[in-house]
Amino acid sequence: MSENPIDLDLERARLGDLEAFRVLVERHSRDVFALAFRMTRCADDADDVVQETFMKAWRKLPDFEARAAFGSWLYRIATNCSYDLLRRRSRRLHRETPLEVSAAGEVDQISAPAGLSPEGRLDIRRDFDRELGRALEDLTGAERTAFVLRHIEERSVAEIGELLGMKTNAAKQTVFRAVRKVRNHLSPLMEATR
Amino acid sequence: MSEQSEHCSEEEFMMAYYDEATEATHRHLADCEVCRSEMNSWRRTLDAARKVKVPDPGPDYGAAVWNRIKPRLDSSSWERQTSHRRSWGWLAAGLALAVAGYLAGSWDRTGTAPPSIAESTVAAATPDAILRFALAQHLERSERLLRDVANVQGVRSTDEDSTIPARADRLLANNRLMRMALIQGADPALGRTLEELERWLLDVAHLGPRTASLEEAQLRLRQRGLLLKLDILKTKLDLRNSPGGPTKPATGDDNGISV
Ligand SMILES: [Zn+2]
Repeated sequence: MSENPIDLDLERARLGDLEAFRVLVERHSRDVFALAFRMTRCADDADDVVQETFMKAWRKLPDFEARAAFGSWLYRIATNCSYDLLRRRSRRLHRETPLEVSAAGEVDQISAPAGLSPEGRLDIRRDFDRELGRALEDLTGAERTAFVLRHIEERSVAEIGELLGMKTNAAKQTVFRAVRKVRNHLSPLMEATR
Repeated sequence: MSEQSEHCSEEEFMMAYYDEATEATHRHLADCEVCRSEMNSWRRTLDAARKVKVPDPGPDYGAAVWNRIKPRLDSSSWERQTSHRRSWGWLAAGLALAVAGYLAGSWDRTGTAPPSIAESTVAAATPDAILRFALAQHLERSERLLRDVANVQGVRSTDEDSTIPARADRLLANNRLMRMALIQGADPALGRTLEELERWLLDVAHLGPRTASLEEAQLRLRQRGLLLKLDILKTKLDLRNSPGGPTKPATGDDNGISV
C-alpha cells in the first residue's frame, strides 16, 4: 500500500473531522507563527496571520492534494495571508512596534569598533534594528515578502515567484529591489560603526 | 570611468551574496581588490539583517489558537461543504474512469484506472447514469468488505484477513469521488453516509498497533450501523436491483456500457 506513512489526522481532517484538525492546528501553530512574525515583525499581526491561515486551511482542506506535504501547503497559505496583511497594513501606514530583536550575544553580528563596551554594542545593535525596521516599512508588500522569503527563509527565487504568483524573473527583480533598498538604509550605519 | 563599468554591478554583488554568482563574477572578485572590499560590505550589512529573533509564543500556543478559531470553524462548516466546487465535467470524467476501472476488472488487482475500453462509451452516458452505475458497484464492494470484517472471528489471522486493509485502501479513492458527487449533487444526507463509510475505510486501510485494530473496526462498524446505512442508501437510490457485476446504466440508449 502506501510507502510513506499516511497522516491519519490529516486524512480525517479532510473529511471534516474537527478533532483531527485540532491536532493539526496544535502541531503547526508555532511554525506558522514564526514565519508570520518574520514576515510582519509584529506579534499581534503574526497571531492574526496564524488564525487566518488555519481558517483558510480548514475551508480549503477538501481540495488539498494528498500527495503534497501538508507543511508546505500550510506555509503557502501563511505566506499569502502575511502578504495580504502587509498590503493592507502599508495602506494604513502602520508603525511597527520597535523590535526587541537582539539578545546580547547577537550584538557581535554587527562589526562594532573594537574595545566598545557591551552597552555601547547594544546601542549600536538597537540603532541598527530600528533602521532595519524603517527599511522594511519602506518596502512594498511584495518586496517585503520577497525579501523575507529570500533573505531569511532562504527560499529560491523560483519558489518565491510561485508563492507570489509572478514569473521567476519578476520575482528576481522584486528581491533585488528589496535587497537594494534594505542595504541602502543600513549601509551608512554600518560604515559609521566601522 | 571605463574601468568602473568592469566592476561588479549591484545585482552581481547580490547574486554573489546568495551564492548565485556567475563564473565571470567569481573571477572578477578574485582579482579586484575594490570589488572584494565592496563585497565584504554587502556581506556585513546583509548578514546583520538576517537575524530576526522570533518571540516564543509559549508551549500552549497551539491550544490557544485552537480555542480562538474553533467557534469560527463551526460556523464556516457550511461554506466548507460548498467549497467542493467541482464541475460536473470533471466529476463525470473521474467517474467514467472509475466505472471503466470496474468494467475492465483490473480495478481489484491494481487499484488504478485501467485502459480505455469503456471510457468513451461511459462518457457518452449522462452523469446521473454514470454515477448510479458506479455507485452500485462501489456499494456492493463496500458491503462485501463490511460483511467480511464483521465476520472475522477472534484474533486469528488468515490470508483472507490480511487482504482486508488492501481492499479498504482501494475502495477509498472511489468513495471520495462518489461522496463528492453526492455532496455536490442533490443529496447531502447520502453524502454523509459515504463520509462515515470513508472514515471507517480509512481506519481499516491502516489497521495497526498505533492506529485501530480489527476488533475496533468491527466495533465501530456495529456502533455506527454502517451495514444498515448502506442498505438504506441502496434502497433510497433504488439500486437494489442492480448489484454485483457490471450492468448497463439506466440510460435507455444502446450505446451504453457493454461488457
Ligand atoms: Zn572590481
